[in-house]
Amino acid sequence: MTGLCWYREEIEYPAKAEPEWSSLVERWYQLDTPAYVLAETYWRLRDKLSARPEWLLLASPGASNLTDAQFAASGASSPAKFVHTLPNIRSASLLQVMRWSGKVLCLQNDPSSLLTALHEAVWLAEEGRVWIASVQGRGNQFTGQLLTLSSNSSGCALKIDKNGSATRFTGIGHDKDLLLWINGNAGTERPFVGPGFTLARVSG
Amino acid sequence: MAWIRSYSCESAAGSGVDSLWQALRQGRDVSQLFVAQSQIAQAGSSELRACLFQGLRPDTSRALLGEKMHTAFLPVAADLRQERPFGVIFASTKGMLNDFVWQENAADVQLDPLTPLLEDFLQRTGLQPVRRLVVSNACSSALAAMALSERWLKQGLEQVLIVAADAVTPFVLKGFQSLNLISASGIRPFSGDRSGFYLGEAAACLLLEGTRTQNSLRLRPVGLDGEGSAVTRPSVSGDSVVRAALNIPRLRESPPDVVIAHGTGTVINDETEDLAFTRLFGELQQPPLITGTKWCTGHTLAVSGALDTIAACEALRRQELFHLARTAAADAKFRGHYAVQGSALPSRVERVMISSLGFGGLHASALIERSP
Repeated sequence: MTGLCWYREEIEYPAKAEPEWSSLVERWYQLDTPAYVLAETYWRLRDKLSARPEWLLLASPGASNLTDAQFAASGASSPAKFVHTLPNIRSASLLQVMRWSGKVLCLQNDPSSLLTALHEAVWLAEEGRVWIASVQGRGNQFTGQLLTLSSNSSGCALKIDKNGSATRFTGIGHDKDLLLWINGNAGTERPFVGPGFTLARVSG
Repeated sequence: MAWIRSYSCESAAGSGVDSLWQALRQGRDVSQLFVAQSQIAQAGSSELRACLFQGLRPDTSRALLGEKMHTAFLPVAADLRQERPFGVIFASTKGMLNDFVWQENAADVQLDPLTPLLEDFLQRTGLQPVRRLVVSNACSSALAAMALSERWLKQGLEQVLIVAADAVTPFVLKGFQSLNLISASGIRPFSGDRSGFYLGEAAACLLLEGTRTQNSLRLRPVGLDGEGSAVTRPSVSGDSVVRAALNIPRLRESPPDVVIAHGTGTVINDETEDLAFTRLFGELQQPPLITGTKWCTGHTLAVSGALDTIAACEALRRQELFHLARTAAADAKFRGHYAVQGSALPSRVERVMISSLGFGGLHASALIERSP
């Protein structure tokens, strides 16, 4: 059984003031929205996230579409914008704020990028603690998410049971259903993570 | 433990592995065939919206890349046992974004531009993998996909097909131009007068499996390290590159004879790699020979680690090597043992290490060896 702690922060962007972590990130003022949101998310949650991960998975629904469009619209000439047009770049500021280095994988599988990362994380949790980082949103309202998975489920509100050695992955659900379920929307079915996997709330 | 069963590629050198190998061995800089590249790089954004790249309209990049991926797959298709559980990983940085990125509503596009390319590929080939996803770790994507493949093989899949592909679109060219990384005079990795790189388009397929078969080559567990030093450059100490390499089991006890470096020809990349390789191997009586492929193919972004893997496999199978053919002499500050023009090449190759450095500080190292 794998314990899953799910942390979320609602973050407004652009920020109204210099972030507390600004000294930790080189040229923090040039970050794109997802990079800023991830760094701020970690900063707000840092006291709850004591144990460091063995793996960090970055799930980036929509990849870097927002920044890609901004780079193109600005005449495709801003190096500061261009560097953020890779969907993995947002992990750089997160790692700087975390003061951590280690194994990082940036995974995409829209419309199931988050679920796919969750599925991979359950397997990788056999090697140690896994974190998943993700940003979603539009306009100036964004949600930064950090999910931690480990064999120790104490303190986590969710758990994932892995039954047998099923490897089949096809048929995975959509991220939006997972997020609806996590948010406790009435009538939402439990998302399908994969055969042999059961996602459930920890009772009590 | 994983084994590399077969591989193929499409690159500026031509179709297939032989074309790549012959270009490397003959010292041909095929990246210069991209004549249109310089014209695109000079164009303004308004021209880029209507830009033709290699005679193709921007909205055909999805089809162009799909064609290259399919062609690269054909030579390995016979080795894929589709009746057994297998996975497919697509390694890419930007995919087909050029199709929509210039449109006014591009910011509202909710789906990533990489997954549809993987879906196109699966539909065209008729493959039905039990697991599939996209790994986008910048220019270390291919090696990161190899690291994930090892886990999938351990978890019960019999084979994993890695498909790596990237299109050099006007968007990408303009971006690298804005970073002043496009060389005006070619790629001369590790030379004192290096000035950046050309970009190159490529697609490659690697077929990995969990059990040894005839002629397969052994892949030691791939070392990964992500660091947060800066967005576009590794830490100048080389710490993260060293950590990635040391995550390969038994690297110190059984070091490589040859390193295929990332070798982009940028000032910082090459300095960092030289420092890292010196820290890793500088004490050895016979330090590994350092070579690279980008002087020949251009920097193929997510595909570069796959091309380097193919070059490593060919070196091991053929027992031949290739020079850094555009590098007359190594930077006087560097301490590594470089395969510059005219240098002696070893006649025996047992183990080859590959180094990939990605934007965002995502680094990876792989070691491929002949089966004992």
